[in-house]
Amino acid sequence: MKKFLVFLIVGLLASSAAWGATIAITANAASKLEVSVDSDTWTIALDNTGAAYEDAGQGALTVKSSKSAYTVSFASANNGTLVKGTDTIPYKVKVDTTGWSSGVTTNNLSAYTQLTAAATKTIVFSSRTPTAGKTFDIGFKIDAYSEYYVDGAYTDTITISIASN
Amino acid sequence: MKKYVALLSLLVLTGVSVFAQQSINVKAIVAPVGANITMDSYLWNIAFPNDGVTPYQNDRQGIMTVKSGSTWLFHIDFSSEHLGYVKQGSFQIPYYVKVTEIPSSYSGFILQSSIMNGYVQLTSTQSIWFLGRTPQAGIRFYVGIKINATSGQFFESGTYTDTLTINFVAL
Repeated sequence: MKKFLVFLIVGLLASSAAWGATIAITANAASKLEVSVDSDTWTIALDNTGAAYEDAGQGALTVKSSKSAYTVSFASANNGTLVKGTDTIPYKVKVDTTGWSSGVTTNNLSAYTQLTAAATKTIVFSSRTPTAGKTFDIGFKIDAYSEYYVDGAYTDTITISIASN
Repeated sequence: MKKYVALLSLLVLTGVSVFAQQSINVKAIVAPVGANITMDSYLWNIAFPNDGVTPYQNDRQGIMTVKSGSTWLFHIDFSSEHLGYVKQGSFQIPYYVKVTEIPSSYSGFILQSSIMNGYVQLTSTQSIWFLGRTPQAGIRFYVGIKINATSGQFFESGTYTDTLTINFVAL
């Protein structure tokens, strides 16, 4: 019994004890998904000679994303044609992402593509951009033609959107 | 004095006999009276701007109250489940913690410590040592937290978590 008491005393002297509190920390990092263009109006002078029109730097698309996986989509109000009443001119666009190949999984617009309903008009990304974003050239092309277009002003609207995957 | 001699003799005698007999290890943990650590909030929700420019810093994110009760020599230890990072899957953001004493009538000593000198990342346990019992109402501290922005870069957006543990260790 005495030995037990001694051990108990020694134990009491030698031991340390701990009590604690825990705090659950939750940080919500804000989301940023944004696309913008340098100019929201493109005015193209088509000389109507039958020669193709092409400008590889017609516009500049800037993408900002705080997500690693996201997709930028293109859509045309008139299925990839410029419209004047019943007259139409087909056109194509492309987006040059070669400057950031490490951040792009699939670019379905790497070559000139008409923005028809059936076409795949997306760019799939796999990396966050810097906060300043990544900027890509948008090319615009009207193929050569053998018949005159009816002269006048043709229009279309291209809508560019971004969504996380 | 007699008691001291008696106790000493008993310890010596027991120490000799341990070699000849099977030993029993007895460890008893006795809570000092009233010793505890409490926080005004055990859930910290932080809205991080994630714009590559603006840090998050709140020097008074929480208020911690330390009561030592009958214990006069003790320390409190701060540790992090993810070693000073909030995590979201494989993504992580470093954060930093600072403790600031709220002036009180505490007559003991609080030894210098990194976590009281400035913001530190809890890559390892950070301690604050105390000499002297606290008043019954305890001593209060602000606990601050800071998340730096990474210039020009987004963190992966979403919800990050960590568990911060504060232990009271009585000696």
